[in-house]
Amino acid sequence: MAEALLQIENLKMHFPVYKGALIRKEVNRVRAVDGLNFNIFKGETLGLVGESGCGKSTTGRSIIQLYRPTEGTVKFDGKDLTKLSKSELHPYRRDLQMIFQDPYASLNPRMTVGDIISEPLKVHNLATGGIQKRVQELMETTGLDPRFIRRYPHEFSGGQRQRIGIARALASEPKFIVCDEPISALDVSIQAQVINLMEDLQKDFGLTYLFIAHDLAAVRQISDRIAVMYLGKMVELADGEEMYAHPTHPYTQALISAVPIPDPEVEATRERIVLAGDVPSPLNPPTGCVFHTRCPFAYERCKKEVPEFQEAGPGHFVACHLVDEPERRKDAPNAPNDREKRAAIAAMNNAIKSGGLDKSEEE
Amino acid sequence: MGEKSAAPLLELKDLKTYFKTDDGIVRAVDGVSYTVRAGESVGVVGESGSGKSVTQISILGLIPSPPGFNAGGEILFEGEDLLKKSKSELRKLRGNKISMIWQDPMTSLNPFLKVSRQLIEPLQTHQGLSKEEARAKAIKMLEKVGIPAAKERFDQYPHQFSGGMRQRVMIAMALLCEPKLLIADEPTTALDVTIQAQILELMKELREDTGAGMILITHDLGVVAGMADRIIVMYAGRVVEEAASKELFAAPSHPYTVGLLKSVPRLDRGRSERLIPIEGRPPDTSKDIPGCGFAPRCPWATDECTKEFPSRKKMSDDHYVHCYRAEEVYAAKLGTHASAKHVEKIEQGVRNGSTIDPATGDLNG
Repeated sequence: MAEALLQIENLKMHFPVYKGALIRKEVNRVRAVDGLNFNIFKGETLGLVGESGCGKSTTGRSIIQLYRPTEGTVKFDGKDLTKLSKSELHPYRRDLQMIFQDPYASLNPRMTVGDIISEPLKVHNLATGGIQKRVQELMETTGLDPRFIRRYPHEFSGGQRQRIGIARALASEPKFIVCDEPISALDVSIQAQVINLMEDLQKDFGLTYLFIAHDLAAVRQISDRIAVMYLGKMVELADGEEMYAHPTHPYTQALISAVPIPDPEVEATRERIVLAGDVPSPLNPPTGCVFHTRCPFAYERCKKEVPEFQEAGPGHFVACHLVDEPERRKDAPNAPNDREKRAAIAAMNNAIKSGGLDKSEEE
Repeated sequence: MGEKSAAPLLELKDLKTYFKTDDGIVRAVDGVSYTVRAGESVGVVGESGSGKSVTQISILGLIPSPPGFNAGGEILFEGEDLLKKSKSELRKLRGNKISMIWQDPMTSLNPFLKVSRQLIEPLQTHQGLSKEEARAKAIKMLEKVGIPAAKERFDQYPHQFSGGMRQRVMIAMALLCEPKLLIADEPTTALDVTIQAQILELMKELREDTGAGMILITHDLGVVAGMADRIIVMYAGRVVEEAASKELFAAPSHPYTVGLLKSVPRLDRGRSERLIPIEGRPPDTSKDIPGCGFAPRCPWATDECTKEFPSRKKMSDDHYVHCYRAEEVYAAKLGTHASAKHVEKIEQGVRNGSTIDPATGDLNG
């Protein structure tokens, strides 16, 4: 898996903000994505999580060149996509596909399912002669009844529409698919169907996914590696298991602790790191580390110096000054109570609940 | 929490709310009964269209009519039937003894009115406070829900607040008149996870302070796991299972509850545990559903299930289920701790017609 399918270097996507009716002047820029460096390996699922406005969707779109990045390079099979013209890019579009969040808005209501799924085939001159057969095959692969080929999107449920979107993405036999919140608009019981389908397709067709979502639990379920974004920056990137077992960036730690777990016994003993305040505006991001305004460990250096995205362990990248100065974590005046104390309290609570203090020794 | 007083705070008895549409009558809520005791927090889970929100809107007397209408049942709040009350009597209750927190704080606050006016109004109408008294009390409440510089922000408009802050304003508004019952409909669904954590923490604290009973409607099993004393599971307009939170997660006895637990990814589990989806999709409630609405998707379903909706069975204290095979489901131990493999084996077995030995929980034969 060590072979990189996509190499992303210093990716920046800024959206200018104009003012003035006659003389339009750029007055500011929204730094939606601000300098990302990472690889996406062949055959893996890379999960990209973060809260709304952190730039995760913009990242996905700038990688497949739906947005042309402001700066940086995106190398696919050794070729820098950002330098290619629209027509030069055309053959690559076949390999780079996307599944969208909203299964209602992303399908043309005036096209039949057959038209929708066959469009990529026609655009790329594929399956000439056997288009209908190929569409039916794709419908079957994604769990749709091929007899419905002449129906319109509104005749399908949300989950089925998402399958149509997946079939369309698969039509051109892509190598890489950006999945932008593909399950968040679906009902709980349908989400699992789509997750399982996507996993099966990956196995069958050797696909590589960038799975963008705000739901950390779903991302962990499907991803090999997970990347966390905050305000246009990538703050942490690691293997899924590693990320859950040893979250290192204070934001990742807060994010993981904030996700509710569907188990009352686990919930009763969990300690939450509740972050103060809201996410700052990407129009005017904080100096230094973008997270310092909400970070419980922030100190002087964080306000001035942008932390480097560095390898803290094998394959585990973190952008945080605490990696260089771990002792700061303990000394921080705003730090949550230290771990031992919290563990002791949790153990005591457990003991009281189970009816005796003497059982608390194993903590 | 969960103190048992003689009369429950709220009691729904066989409530039916239907809607007339061009496609026929939609039975959005079709015979729902449950209770909320004083000071208790009850979670209601279900998918979109399960009737969980329509039930609450019926309690508040806010069902638009037409097309909606009450087709039977009772809503007893402190012993009095809300369905028999006049509009003006209900208006005196809403925002006063019963108040609500909606999902989307942007659409549920009036964008044209300053926050101050929206907060002062209920105090003046329900509690008869003077403007100054109301103002002081409202500012105090904003401080309590953690709005920084509450005094300065009091005269701002809703759009000047962030999503999380707006939801705090909503909560302040809901708690102003010290309600006995708080209805929260997906209060954190529109918020980011870290903000959700803030709001849930706040709601927990405030509820402990005020002792209000709460109905928390959500599709997120994680949220109810942390917030609810008791959980009601709804499917296709009916209650299918109710139990204390721990019991429901540990020993679910309705196949739909099992399906929900097993189809939701858990952050504390790795990739190795594959999700078990519920096949098919929820039924169309505009069609008559003669038996159990879940039967077409249910691995346990028998012929009996499509004929008549099963009556309420008591599993243990506070644990009730509507399922013909509840004892078997219970015995098979399919709770949140069961492995996906075990659940798949059992479901495969019963799909092929096997039964479960209620004593051992194993497949027969």
